[in-house]
Amino acid sequence: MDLQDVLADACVVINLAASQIWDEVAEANGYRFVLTRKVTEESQYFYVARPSGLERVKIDMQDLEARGRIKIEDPLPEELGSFVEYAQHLDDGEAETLAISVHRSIELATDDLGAIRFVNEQQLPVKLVRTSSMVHTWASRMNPNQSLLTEVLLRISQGARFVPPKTAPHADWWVRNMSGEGSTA
Amino acid sequence: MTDASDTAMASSVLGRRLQAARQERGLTQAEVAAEMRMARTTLVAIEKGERRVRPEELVELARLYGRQVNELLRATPPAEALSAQFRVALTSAPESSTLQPLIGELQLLAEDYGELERITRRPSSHEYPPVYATEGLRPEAAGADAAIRERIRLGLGDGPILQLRDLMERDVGLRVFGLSLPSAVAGLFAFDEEVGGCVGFNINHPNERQRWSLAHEYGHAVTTRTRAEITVLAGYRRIPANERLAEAFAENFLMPSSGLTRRFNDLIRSSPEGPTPADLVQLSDIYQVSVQAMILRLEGLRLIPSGTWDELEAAGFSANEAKTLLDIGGREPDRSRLPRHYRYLAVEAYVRALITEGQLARFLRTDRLGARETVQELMSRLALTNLGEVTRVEMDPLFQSRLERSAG
Repeated sequence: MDLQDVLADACVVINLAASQIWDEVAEANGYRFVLTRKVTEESQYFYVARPSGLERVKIDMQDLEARGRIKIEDPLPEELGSFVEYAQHLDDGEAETLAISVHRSIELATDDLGAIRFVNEQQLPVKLVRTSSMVHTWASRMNPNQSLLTEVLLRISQGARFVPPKTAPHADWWVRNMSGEGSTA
Repeated sequence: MTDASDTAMASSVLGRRLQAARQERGLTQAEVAAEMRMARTTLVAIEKGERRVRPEELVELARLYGRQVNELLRATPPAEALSAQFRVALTSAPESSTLQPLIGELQLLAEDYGELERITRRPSSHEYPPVYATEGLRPEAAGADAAIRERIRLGLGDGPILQLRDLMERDVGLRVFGLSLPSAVAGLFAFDEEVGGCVGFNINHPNERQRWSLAHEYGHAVTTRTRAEITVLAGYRRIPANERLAEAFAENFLMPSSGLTRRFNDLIRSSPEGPTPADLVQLSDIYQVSVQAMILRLEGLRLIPSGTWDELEAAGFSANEAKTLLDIGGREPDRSRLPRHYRYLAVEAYVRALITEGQLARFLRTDRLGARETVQELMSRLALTNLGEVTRVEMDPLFQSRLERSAG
């Protein structure tokens, strides 16, 4: 199956790692994620629920790269001008990712509201996708049972400390299913 | 302002930031120029703002200096004033090579505080207390006088002060940061018109020592404000006049004579044979000072015989054992590096989508996960249910509506 390259920022990487179904979400969406080196350095940990409590676990970038789930890229020299321009407003990882996204017309997966606001204000030609959309697509295509769906959403909530804001796509669906109250997509 | 002068100013600010970052990294212009394969004169011109830095050069310089490009591109000049002020104080301080980077950290924290105020458009009012005149008074008298005046100014009465750090941050306007200082160093103080009054205290010291250090630095802030101070624990050097003044301020501010005398007399009335060591331990707990500080204060006020502390010590008295026997639990040291208001500003900036998550993590000196936890902690509120139980309510509605408007 041909996978589409999609840039991911650190917010999304942590969310997907915490879901513990990185491969399934990526395949359901048809994505292979492209990360800058800075993003791999910034997105380091998530929590896993153990009987003894929550345990901080390091995201295994080497494993993801070895299995072809991520590709690590640095900005090209011709992209550095945009990177520096964006870095006046955004952290370096976000600015690098956005510069590559703009120059190479690659879709950008982000949940960072600061970055989303910047893209909208600057009217940058970037197609954005959110964690909630990707997880919703996985649920729609793979049709997991309610308990698995609830567990995945809880893993992201607890493990990444992330719940999509009300303005995010499928936010209501997320909250409903996280509490196990409904399975409609 | 024209675009050209805007550009010139931006180059000048960037140049100063690059110079400050290089100096903090301990690199010479020649070393950096060699690494960058550029003429030293080119680097000099960049640092002076006379030559624009190319994107690839900026990326490489940021890497060399261990800085984010985003930080180097801040619109405001670096706050170099604090480090400059500490140069004199450092000459007589122990472990000055260890202290140097910590002073740099204090300066960066103060600068970040200002940056957060700028981003959120919530500038500090910087309405500091007056500098109390000390001329013609003995340091001990001047410190006591300033403490009494400051208590009156703040309407504190003469009781114990429980939330000293909060008081100093909220009501006095000082910026109080926790630093992992060498054990011999209790605290730092520096003041600059731009940056404000900054206090650093040792997060590794016990709670009571921390409170004393805070009060001591507070004493500097209201007396010898324009002079940067590094407070070294007694025993390491002779105590100069300005330190004796700050010590007297701390003593009188934490244990005002009128309130303490009243409480002590209440104790006497309930135990006619005189106060026991247990009474004194309990009194020290009420004021959150060490037992030694309390006993020496009572000696100074002539409420107990002079030499009481020495006698107790010679008899093998242990404050910790006494507290255990009395079931007085030791208070945890304050390990929080960042002021509460600073953390609120950072989270507000993030919630309003004015900064990214990566920037938030840097402001909070943590990683992404830690930053998210701080957001959750501050965005949820404690509330009472109708059954009287304390519960946590998710998401402050004000923050939620801001979030929605910002994200559009």
